[in-house]
Amino acid sequence: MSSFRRAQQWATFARSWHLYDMKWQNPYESAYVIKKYLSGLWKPIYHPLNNCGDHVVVINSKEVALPGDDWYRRAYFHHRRYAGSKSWTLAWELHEADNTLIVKKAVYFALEKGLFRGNQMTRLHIFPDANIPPEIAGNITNQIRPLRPVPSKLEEVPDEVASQCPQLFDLPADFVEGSDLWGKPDPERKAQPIRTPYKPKGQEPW
Amino acid sequence: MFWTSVLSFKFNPNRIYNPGPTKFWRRRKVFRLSAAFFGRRRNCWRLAIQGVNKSMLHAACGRKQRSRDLMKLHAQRVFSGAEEIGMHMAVYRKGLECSKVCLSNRSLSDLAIWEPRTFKALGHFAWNNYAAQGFGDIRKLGNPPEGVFLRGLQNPKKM
Repeated sequence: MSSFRRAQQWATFARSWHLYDMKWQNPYESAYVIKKYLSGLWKPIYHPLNNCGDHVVVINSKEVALPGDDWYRRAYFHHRRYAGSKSWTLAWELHEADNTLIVKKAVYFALEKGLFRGNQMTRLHIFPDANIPPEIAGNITNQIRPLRPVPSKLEEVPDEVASQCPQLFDLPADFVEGSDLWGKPDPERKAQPIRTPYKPKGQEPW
Repeated sequence: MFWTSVLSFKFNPNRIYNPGPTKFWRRRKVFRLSAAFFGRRRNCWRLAIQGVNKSMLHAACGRKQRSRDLMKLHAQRVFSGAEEIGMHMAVYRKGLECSKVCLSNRSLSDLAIWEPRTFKALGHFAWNNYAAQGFGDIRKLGNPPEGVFLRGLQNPKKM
């Protein structure tokens, strides 16, 4: 190291805290947004060996939205290293066991493998609802824009507004309930084929 | 011995006795390269020469890989620097290319780190130029920032 670079100090001693609202967001796409802040990719001083990542606080992980029928199709593999102890847990089962695990695993797979992944995961704070402890809420200085806007439900729209909207179609009563678009959960709950790893294109600049 | 064999003798430079360096000095050059290896690969000839050959192959690959890694790193830095001012890197590069500002990713990343205001001004210049060239609002750019004067660069150019 030359004597000029000896005093070079990146302004990374301060870690900023970001908030991400996971309500009705795709966790596998959002993981690549969170990765950018966890590993410091959004800073021009980024270097893979430079410890310049930030904290990310994820709220509302309970209300995460998986694409398509992934609740029934996506399986999480686990092996306890005993003979015959391999297990595939479906996404809806994992979500019932722990509300934060789907987000955690999505971010874990999105981060690059290496010695820094564990450190970066410790800077990810996931909460199932909007209740954040005050010592964490006081640190937050930035909110990451969610990937998709959250639409309002018809039940949440007040009757005054809904009554002004003209009704164009007469839909049958079982229009939503009778739809079999995404299939139904397997009653025997056998292991389903695992989807290929999800990687959105166009995230990297090269 | 016959006289004929003596008379037919001609000077042959290939037959000059030139033993060269001894085995010790020949191998010493390789052992210097294997000095930092572990175990018998450091001092045993058969293992040391294998290790040195392989390490030189790795070094040759690493010289190419280093430049590739640096190119990736500079592209990443320009990307994040452009995102900070609300632009996409493709627009940044294209806008500078139209106005014949020939700056590499490396110098742009240096600007983004050490001179962020220069980087921002260049970005606004590129943004205006991009819009003036009529490339279209493909990425929902919005209106380019004000306060930038384009002199003689407004004419659309065939890219």
